[in-house]
Amino acid sequence: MKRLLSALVLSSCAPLIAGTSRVLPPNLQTDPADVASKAEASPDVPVERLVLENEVTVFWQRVPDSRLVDIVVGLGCGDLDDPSGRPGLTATTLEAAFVAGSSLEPLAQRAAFQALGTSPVASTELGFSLVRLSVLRPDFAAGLELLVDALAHPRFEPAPTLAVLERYAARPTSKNAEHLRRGLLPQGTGASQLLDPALIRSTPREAMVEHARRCVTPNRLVLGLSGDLDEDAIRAASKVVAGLQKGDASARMTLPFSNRTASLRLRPDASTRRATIAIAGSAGNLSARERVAATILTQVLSSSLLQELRSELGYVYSTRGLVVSGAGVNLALVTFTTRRERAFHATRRAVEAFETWWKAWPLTPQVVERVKLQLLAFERARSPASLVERRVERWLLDGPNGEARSDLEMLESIDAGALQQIFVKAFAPERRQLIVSGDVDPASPWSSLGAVEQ
Amino acid sequence: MLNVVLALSFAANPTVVTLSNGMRWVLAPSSNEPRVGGVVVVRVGGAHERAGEAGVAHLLEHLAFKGTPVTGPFIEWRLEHEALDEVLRLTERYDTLVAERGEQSKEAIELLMELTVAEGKWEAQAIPWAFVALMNKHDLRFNAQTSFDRTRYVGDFPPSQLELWLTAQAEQFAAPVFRQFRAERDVVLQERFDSESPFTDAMATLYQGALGDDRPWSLIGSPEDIRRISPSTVDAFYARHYAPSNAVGALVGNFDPVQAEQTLRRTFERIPDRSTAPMPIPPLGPPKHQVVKGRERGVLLAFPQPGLFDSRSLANRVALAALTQEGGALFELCAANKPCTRLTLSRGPATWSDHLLVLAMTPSATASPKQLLDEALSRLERAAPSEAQLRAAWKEVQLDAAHERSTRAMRAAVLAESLINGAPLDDVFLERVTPPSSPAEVRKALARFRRDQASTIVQGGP
Repeated sequence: MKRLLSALVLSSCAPLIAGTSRVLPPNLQTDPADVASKAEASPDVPVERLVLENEVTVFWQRVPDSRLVDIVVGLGCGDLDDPSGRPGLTATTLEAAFVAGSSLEPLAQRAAFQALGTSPVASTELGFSLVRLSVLRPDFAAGLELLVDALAHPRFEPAPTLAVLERYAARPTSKNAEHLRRGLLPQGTGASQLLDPALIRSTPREAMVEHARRCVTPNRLVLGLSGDLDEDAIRAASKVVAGLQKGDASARMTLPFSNRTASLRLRPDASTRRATIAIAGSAGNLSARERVAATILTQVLSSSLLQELRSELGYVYSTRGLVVSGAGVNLALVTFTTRRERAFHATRRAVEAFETWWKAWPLTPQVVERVKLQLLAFERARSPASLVERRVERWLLDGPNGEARSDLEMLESIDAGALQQIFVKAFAPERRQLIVSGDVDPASPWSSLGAVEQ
Repeated sequence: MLNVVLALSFAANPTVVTLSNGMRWVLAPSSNEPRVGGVVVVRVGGAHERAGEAGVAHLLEHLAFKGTPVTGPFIEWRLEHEALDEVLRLTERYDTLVAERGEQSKEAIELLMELTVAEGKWEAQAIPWAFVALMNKHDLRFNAQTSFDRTRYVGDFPPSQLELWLTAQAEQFAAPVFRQFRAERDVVLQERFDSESPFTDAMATLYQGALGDDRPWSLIGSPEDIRRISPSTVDAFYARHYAPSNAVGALVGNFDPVQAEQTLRRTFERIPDRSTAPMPIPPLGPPKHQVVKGRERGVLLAFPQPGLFDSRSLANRVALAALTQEGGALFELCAANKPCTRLTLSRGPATWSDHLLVLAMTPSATASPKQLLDEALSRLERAAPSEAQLRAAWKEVQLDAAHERSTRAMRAAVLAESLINGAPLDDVFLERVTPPSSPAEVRKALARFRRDQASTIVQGGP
């Protein structure tokens, strides 16, 4: 009935946006929702899994006609594995492995990668690392061999290693991201320490060799592939990983979110030109499904904050919800950015919102459904490389016996009740932290929001 | 030097549908694909902005996702329209008052209160996220990008939702409603701040010098202009450029071309055409050398490059890759202990036609910008990549091309540009338009990176 009324009203108005050039022609006033198909979504192309002779797992997805093969090597070693006193060790070890020699001399190694037209890109997260390499289809076997050789037989020749350390020490970093990270992680691990350029430059070769030996073992390594490949091609090329020596599965570090007395960490830094506020909750150990629920939760909370703070009060520019995961650690974060003059009021409003939500869970099934739909659409349209990478990440976080369902299947099964459980787990007042960093006024009454540590 | 590569296969050759209003669509069906990628390319971008409205193209792109008269009203459009009209009218008045008397003036504060009340009344009549929610509900992924001379609206969706996507896109094209105008303007302003580099202003100066007229030539807008852009400015910009004959569409993936054409005729063809106000991008002028002040010391070194559909472009891309890859003249310039600490590349304007390639370099503490510039130009004069380096460069360019076509939406965008530029539509990698080059041609292309071709800016710091 509402649509009929709308249609009648619409057809009587022209131009439809008075005083402007924007006109919806009468014969184009269909409600798109009326033409939306009720058909089932097309079935997903599955990510296949196979296990090689030496127990290395490979996830792969065939992409017919693709000229590219995307390779991702996942290693169960991340920032949390940095020993105390050696922040950045995992990241620098990984970067040096691809330039400082392998079974090839460094120059020959770099020339071999260059002949492929590309070089590996390594990224280190809290609990794991990923190395990505995209090659043309005819170069697949050669590219995979070079990658694995670099990881399995790193030389860490002095000159190129020093160059890597120098670059890492001098690289531009996001100051707000650094402040946030240090605010979240408790002291006592390499990951929570300042990335000290002098310390990084002086990393001894022996430390890198030992770290690589611990990290690159079949039981901590997983392979992801997407491209115009079949199982035979993958098995043939993956023979290169057969030579990896099985190592000890050393106990993974678990980090408590620390018993802090401060609930607000203030890190003023006017040079950043914007303020970043993060409300963080520690959810401890989560299953894969709970992590998906936590992702939805943080998106729902950030979407609600956006609605209140930006749309209604004009306080913030962007909000973001994310979950940062490591071994036994899951931090749920809701962050937003704003300008200096709005930072305190926006933060106070956000704190009030969380207090209100804590007292009375206000997120209706409709709100949850809206955000879920957004995430479902995002999941369905992931590229093959991205889908494979998600499976690699899950394997690294949950191990070989982890959740078999896809993220999409888990997303569809989560309801408002599941989100509430995660909210209670992660955002209890005693587990909630505020990190305020960047261009903020230290003279604002921050202590009215909680015990301040600066 | 040349590898044989597989041609990207389509189940049927792409065809072109020309609607009666002048809009053209490329249809490239392929049963190998699980979904459909679509794009609507409007031939407008930052290059078409007039003085005082730098950033308007980007703001319009943002506002386009706030819905239409059909998708967005809470009860009915007539009620919302009245309330929204009042909000936009007060917004214009408020902006003018702030410009004249300042944000803290009594009159401005009072008017802001009035505007806030009006926005509250409007909110009861609208669902500003309705368009986005509709897309999400039906598994339609969407995005948009504004570049120098194009605004692209892209989508990726299941085959069953072809009609939904085309209907929604057509209505969005014909009648975007400017909901949450002030909030979106603020977001665009913040995005402007986020994408700022120490060379943002110098880039604009460079393009003004190269293109020789007084347009802003700012890809990301200017804060002063963005703050002042009014609803009527955006509407006027829309009127000048968003016409069916100034746009091209493309569909790639698993769809029935007959059904697609029928749906296009029921949707986009119903949008009446309108005359637009084209502002062609002038040809690149002769090299210029300028000195400016800026937030940091630096050098901009710019070379004219042939557009992507020019037969010389591939040789140029290979030459550039040879210069910037490890061991290349420019790479070595910025390696450890050399006079440059950072090198970034950007292309603008309009990579589809002749454009500028800009190298932005930050000098090390011990080198002045002028020294860095001289060193860079000398290295370029002496650059002589080996056969191995040229092979590696060619491989890199092939990989880039594969990445640029790795999604359906990207391939749709290439097809749309091929249509605009008169290139064959079954050649999505442009291998016939720009056939692979011989080493001799690549070496000839290196000559386009020499002193006599270079426009430069030396930025001397604060």
